[in-house]
Amino acid sequence: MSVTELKERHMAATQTVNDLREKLKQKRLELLDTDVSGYARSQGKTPVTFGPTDLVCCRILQGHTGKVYSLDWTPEKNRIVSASQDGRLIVWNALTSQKTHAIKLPCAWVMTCAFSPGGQSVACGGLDSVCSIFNLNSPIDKDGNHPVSRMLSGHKGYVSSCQYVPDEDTHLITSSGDQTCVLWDITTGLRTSVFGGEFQSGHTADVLSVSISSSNPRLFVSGSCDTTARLWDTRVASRAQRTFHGHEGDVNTVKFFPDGNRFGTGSDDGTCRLFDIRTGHQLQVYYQPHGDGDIPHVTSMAFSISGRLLFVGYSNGDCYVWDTLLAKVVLNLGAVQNSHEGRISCLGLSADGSALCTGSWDTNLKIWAFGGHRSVI
Amino acid sequence: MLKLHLPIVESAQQMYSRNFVKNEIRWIDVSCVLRVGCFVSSCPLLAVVKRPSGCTSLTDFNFIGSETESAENIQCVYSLNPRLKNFSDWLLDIIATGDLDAFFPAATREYAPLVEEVWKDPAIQETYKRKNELHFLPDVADYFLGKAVEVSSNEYEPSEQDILYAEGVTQGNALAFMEFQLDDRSPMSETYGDNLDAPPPPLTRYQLIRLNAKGMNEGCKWVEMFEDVRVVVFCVALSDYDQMWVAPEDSGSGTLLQNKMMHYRELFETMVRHPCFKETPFVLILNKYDLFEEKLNCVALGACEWFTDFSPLRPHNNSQSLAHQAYYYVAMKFKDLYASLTGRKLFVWQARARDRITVDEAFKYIREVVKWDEEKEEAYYVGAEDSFYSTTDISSSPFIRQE
Repeated sequence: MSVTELKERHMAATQTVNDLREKLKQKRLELLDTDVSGYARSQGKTPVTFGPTDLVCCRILQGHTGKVYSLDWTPEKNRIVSASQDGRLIVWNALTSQKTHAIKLPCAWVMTCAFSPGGQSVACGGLDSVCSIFNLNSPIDKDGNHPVSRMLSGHKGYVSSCQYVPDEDTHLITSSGDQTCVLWDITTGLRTSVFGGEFQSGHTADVLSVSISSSNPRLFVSGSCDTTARLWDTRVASRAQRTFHGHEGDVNTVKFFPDGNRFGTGSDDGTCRLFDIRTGHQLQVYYQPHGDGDIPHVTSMAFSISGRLLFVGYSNGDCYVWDTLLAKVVLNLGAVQNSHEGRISCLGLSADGSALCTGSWDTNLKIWAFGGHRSVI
Repeated sequence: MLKLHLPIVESAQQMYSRNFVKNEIRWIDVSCVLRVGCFVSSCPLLAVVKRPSGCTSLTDFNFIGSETESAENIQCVYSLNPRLKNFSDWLLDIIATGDLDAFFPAATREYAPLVEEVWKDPAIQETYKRKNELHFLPDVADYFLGKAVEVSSNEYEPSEQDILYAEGVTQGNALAFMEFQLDDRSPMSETYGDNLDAPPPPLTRYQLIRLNAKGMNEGCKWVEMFEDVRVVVFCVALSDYDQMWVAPEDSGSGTLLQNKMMHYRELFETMVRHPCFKETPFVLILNKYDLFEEKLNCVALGACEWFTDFSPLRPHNNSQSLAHQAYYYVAMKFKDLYASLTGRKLFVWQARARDRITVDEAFKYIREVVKWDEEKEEAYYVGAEDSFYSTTDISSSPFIRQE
């Protein structure tokens, strides 16, 4: 077969795929009779009431000299690791605000960090295309630096996000600018599986975020610049279980819903969406138009323990607390006293759900706790 | 500073970084890469001679005036002998299946003598003479293929020149960065060249970040991390005006094969338009002037569709050589593009990246641009007409030693 014939067949196949996609989209729209908020309203549900004193800033963690890009809580205890453009990882005790570790990184351009389930190690990755692991209990070397205990190299692009597999200190998943996600075995430093990539059907642009299901750790979702989110089963690396369309811009962040049957996504198009992994349907869009000017991008998100609340950080410094059931904003942490002065780049909820930590380009991290008689939901 | 091209970084590293030569890990990386690179760069040549008779229709490689013998058994000057042809077929097959990594660099030493033999074969040498028609062959192919055995031996240590020539051979888009210091002397300051008893001028620390342009596509999210850089240095190889590359399908050009200079122009435009660089000065370095000069004698500048309206003054006397005129023309194209997008002035410099002096001068020029930009913020008046760094006449550069 000649090259021109191949090109023609390729174009025809692409056209067929696009037509089928369009048909699928139309069918889904037909089947969608309502969304979560529509249904909830019809059942008479009302939004949760939230006042400015219900969620207060109780700690400001200062110490970074550059923009904070990423943070992660330990699964137990109250420690946080944060990564900043100043080239450091800092481990904080969230209750006392003290820094227990300040790790100088070999490459300052770090984009993500994660705490191991046992709390003994932290992982980070960035523009160096490598995921580096530091053991927090190792002694520092003669130059005063923490040694890297393992370097996971193999990605051909920057490491945008990493997360340890729940309850497994030895495995983590990274997402990368080379359009793949990788499951790593930390003890050997080798790749166990590669999701996507040159000869497999995966994302067609940089992958920016991963989230592993806590109820079924074999499942994880990834969000990408190709505007889709994909669901993967770690046992089947050759193709995604399902691809979720709907966003109109880069998907910057993905997070599994607490029950593991749904997940949320946040994008440059300013919306967050809730998808169901079993049916593939888009259940809800979370978007609040705020007048003229550029639409702020969603940078980060986290669900509360029950899933009733969704915390979303935006590129203009806003931090909305959404009632997920009724799709209403119940509080804007970007407008209260003590709010951040710059973009919110990352946020995360503590393991028991009682505190939210936000990280910002203003170099600070802030911890917000449910105040007064407000119960944790 | 943010920088996008390799040989300038390598030169800078050699000049400014004391630890460069001692970095063992670097040596290993570079030698491995060179070994794999040898085999990769020999591919375009091998693919060309793969046809049975060696010179039937080669339209994929745009051979001009290809011979149209139909009889398959006619031997011509481009046919490889059968033994070498078997080897080359095998190499091409493993490259096509994407398995090159599985075989090399492990099998390098074993196959290196064969590679050198293939390279020295008259058929390949004849094909190489027509290298202007081969768009994917790296310029440095002959440099490395000629010493394939040396490069692949275990005792091989890359020389400084080898490292300079190895640009473009690495894969992936990992970045490299280095920190260095330049003193603050400049022609504008009083101590320049005069007072030898003055205390040494203060050193300013710079960090240079190198990004591989291959990694740039629509979704270059990470560029936002460089919002605070003082200057963006954009390097363009002048001699690439007739080179092609395979553009990703969803690029605006519509076709898969794109002229490299057009690609640089698109990339340049994307960078300039990016909101995070709204206030950042840009310096354009037009590199490989020596190769450019050579190439202009055989290939017209109009080979790149952006440059089709180039009409040089003829005949060319020495001070207004064809290359000189072509250089200014290209610089003006970029400057006009930049001005149309930002309303500001683009700083342009010429370099021959393998020649250290021009790289050194380029960095000093960049330093001056950064300082000028800082002073602008402090509201000193620097009229555009008074600017020492007007780029319309570089022969009076303060950095070129007056002969």
